[in-house]
Amino acid sequence: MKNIRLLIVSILTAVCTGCMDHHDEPDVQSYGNQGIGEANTSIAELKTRYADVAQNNGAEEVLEDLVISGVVVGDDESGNIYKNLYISDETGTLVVGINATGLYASLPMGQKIAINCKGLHVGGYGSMLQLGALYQGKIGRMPEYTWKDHVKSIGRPTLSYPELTPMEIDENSLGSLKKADAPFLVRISGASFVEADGHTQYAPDEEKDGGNGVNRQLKAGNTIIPFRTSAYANFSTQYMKMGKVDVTGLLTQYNGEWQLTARTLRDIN
Amino acid sequence: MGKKTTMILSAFFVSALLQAQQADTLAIYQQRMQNENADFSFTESQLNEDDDAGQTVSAITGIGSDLYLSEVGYLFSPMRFRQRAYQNSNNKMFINGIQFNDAERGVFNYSSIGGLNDVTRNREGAPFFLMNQFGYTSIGGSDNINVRAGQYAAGHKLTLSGTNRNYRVRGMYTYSTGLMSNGWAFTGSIGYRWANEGFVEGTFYNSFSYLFGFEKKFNDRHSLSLTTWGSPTERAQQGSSTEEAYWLANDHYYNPNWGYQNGEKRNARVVNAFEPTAILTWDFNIDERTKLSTAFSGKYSMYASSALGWSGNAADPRPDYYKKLPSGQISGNIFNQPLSDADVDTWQNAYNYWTGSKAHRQIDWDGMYFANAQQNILGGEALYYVENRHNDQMAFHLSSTVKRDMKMYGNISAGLNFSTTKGMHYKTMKDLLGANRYTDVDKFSVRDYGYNSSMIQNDLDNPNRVIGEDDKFGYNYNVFVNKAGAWANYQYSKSFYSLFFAGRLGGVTMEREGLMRNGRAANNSKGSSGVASFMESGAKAGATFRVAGKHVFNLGVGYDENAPLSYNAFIAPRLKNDFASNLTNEEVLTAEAGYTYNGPIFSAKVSGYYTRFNNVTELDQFYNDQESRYTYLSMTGVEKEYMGVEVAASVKITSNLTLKALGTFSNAEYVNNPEAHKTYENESETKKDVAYIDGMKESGTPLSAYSLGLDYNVKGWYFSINGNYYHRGFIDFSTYRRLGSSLGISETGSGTVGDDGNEVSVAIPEQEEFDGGFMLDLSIGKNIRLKKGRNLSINLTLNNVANNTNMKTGGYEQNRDDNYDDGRERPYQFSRHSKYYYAQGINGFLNVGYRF
Repeated sequence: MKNIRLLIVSILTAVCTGCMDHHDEPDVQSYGNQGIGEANTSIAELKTRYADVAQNNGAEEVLEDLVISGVVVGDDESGNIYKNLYISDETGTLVVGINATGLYASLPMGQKIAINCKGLHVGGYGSMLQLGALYQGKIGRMPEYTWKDHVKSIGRPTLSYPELTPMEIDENSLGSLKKADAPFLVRISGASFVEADGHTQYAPDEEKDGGNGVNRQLKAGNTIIPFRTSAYANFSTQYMKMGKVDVTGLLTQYNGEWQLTARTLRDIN
Repeated sequence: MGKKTTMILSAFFVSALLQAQQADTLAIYQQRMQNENADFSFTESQLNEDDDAGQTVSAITGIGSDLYLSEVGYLFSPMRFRQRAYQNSNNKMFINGIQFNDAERGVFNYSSIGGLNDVTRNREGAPFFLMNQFGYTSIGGSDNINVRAGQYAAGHKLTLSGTNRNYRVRGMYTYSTGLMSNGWAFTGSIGYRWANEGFVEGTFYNSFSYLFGFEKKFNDRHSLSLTTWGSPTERAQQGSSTEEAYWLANDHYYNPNWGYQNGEKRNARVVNAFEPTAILTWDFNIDERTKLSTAFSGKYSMYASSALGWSGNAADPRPDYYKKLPSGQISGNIFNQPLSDADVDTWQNAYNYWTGSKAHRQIDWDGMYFANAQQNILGGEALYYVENRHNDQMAFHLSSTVKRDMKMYGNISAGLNFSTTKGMHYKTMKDLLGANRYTDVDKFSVRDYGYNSSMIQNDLDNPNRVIGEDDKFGYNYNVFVNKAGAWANYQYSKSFYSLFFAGRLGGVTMEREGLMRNGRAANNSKGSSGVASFMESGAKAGATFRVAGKHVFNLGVGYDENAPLSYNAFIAPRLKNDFASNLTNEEVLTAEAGYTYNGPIFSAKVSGYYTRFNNVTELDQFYNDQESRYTYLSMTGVEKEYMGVEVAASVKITSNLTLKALGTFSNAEYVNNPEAHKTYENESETKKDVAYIDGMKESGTPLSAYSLGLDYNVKGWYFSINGNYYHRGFIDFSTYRRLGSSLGISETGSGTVGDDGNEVSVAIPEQEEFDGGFMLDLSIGKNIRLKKGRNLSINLTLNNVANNTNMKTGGYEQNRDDNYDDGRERPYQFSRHSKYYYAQGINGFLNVGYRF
């Protein structure tokens, strides 16, 4: 009897501790194609070079080894930016179109990256330059695997990059910004939402337009800036903030019209 | 032969095997060989406890002599054949007279006795209309396994097996003393099954099993036995995928569940299960003709199944998510050629990517770890994680059975049974994949209500609770089921006829206890749901007539009222306490008739049956891709019909060559459009709807199957060859796609009548029927008697010798329709991208048993 009991106990302990679902944690330090070299072109240079293509809403393949680098200043964490990343260096900001969601998981705001533009397309979307892929003769988003092959992360993310500090603007300085240089990461202080009444939401499903977004009006001084929010943003059903607000966001142009897009609800204070 | 006929008809408590032994040693050998494999097939290869695949076996195995029943389950197991297409809850498994089907889902957990084949082989099997000594059997039949230590033959047995199925190797060792002169008996069995990788890539199998039993025979009247067993198992699962993914991977066994982590394969869906069980049995021989058996059992079942989770706006990490497939990336419809040039380019590139490297079509674990590490640096929380979904259960049963041989007045068996079950359902965080923490909110509700709403809270009493690994989250509730019942079987036999009657009465109570106050159901999720009570009853009668010893006619009719299963009784069990509306007893009416001919050369059996279910309650719960949220669909008042013909024949061509034929043609379908209630996990409201499912067939089993085989034995060798043809298998249809609201039929409309009162023509999506297919199975065995009563048996079974890898055993439709909300057609047609499972190609099982 004793032997049997011993047998039971020893077998149970031996087996229950064995486990095949154990795995070492991988130590992955980088994302993308680490074979990409140093930046040789600034974002401003890229924009200047393809200004005409952007203006005409055309699209063109980048045939030279143009490598840009910058910091992610706008990602898709909230869902308000969708299938795009905004990249800034000290000379400007560029929008990159990637046909994937959850881009911020690998490349969140504050991540420095380099992009090899060779083989990608640049073109105008609403007259604003975008880096992406050719789609039906126009600029579109590149597949995720193409992106992975053309981008590399540099270091780990930090919010201390100067590129993440928005440009303070008001109605006067807005007038002096050139639409051809858009987008910009900006902050407008002391503005107000025209529609804010305590029960109007940023982008309720019922009001969305064909682009799945809702345009509200942000009033800075006497100037109205269209404030665009996606119905899929995680703050789309929040009530618009009343009174004076400080709004940070990406100032873009769409066919000659300014548009301001908040990255997350944290951008509205 | 007359002896044999009597056996078919009555299947008395005396082991059928013993009687048959004298008549036909070949039959015995064959039986044992089948058991070896059948047990294997049932408990391992066919039983996927994964919710996706469902439990897929339905066969009683303890039937030794019925021409049809003794063969069908084993023969057709490679195609997951369910006898008469009944749900598995219609097969009841008893152990020492205790009903062991799980009280919540109604099914027997075969893996709880996995690896214990050599000690769970002594079974009494009984179809619905046959006298038995252990209980009121269910329409799919029942088995009673005897695990009393005293009934095992004294000696050692070592079994070693090798196979290329879910596991690779199996070893089992059993030692039994038999009943010793001091009145004690002991038996012990241990087993181990293992595969570093099963036949499906990325799966593994690691299972230990044990059974220990003692019995003390105090005197001729009393004996007491205690048996305990369990089978701690860890195994990784196979997933189903679409034809497109199978085609791209060039493999019908492509498994989307695994990916590389640090260059090694890791599976996201791992099951950990262990169900330690013990039974104490007291046998009391009241007098020569009266026996009382009383058994008490307790079990504690631990079952956890893991799955990937992702939060915030992180992308779906499943490698075969439709947006990652070539046809999901183009703007045109792949079935609508020609595609635009841009689409052709996109498709080609995606194709190249998918086929370029195995890693590209599997889970990217390294990428998920990287994403979480990025969040750690920025102070964020887990974007990707692995959760464990637990279905634990504690259950106690008490059952008492009396059997009395009343000689000329017939035989009676009767009993009482009581059980109490506590089911515990919750999620835990299994692996944060390198992240530091996770906040327990519902991400789908965040999208709809924003971070500040109380609706997003899974545990409103602990809002925004930060959790770590092993912490409970998401949902946490208990379900209590209590049962009590009484039953009796009676048989009266004369030489030309026998009559059988049985009846039962019982009561069932069920209750949900919420342990979390869910933000979507703040007032009806925590605490008790209240107790729902049901009376159960059943009665059946059977008659058998024997004419001239060779012709046997049998008839049976039965009616049952069963309480709904607690699994189906709540409309959204993870969320709230609400019972399904109109919850009532399910009614089951069944009738069958058969004819058996027993000749010296030729014997045959033909039978037909009809079964109707009324007032059935069913629950579907699934992640709804259309709405991107977890969805519950509760249907009440479901009506179903099952009918079919079963045929078996055997011809003795020579004394050692037998030709066998067997087949069934059946139908099993829904026959009404029941009321449905739809609840989304991120909403508190439940919406009434109608499910347009009239005419939809039972899935997961071929409705028709035929077999032709030859058995040959010579000088201790045994050969058999079987050709099996299967067809009329159907896909598991999506109820969601057939809801009035999905089809555009108004809520108030009855049938297909529109808002304006006129008939509207709405096309109810058709159910896909799988192509039929043929499988060739072979087996060869040899039994060697050694000195000193030792025995060596070797057998090899080869299934699907022609390596037919194109046979679908099952599959399910995606719960998503082909149009956008505004009616435009989606480029990706979900109705044409269902997910499938395929039967394994050529596979073998080699078994060596040594008894000493």
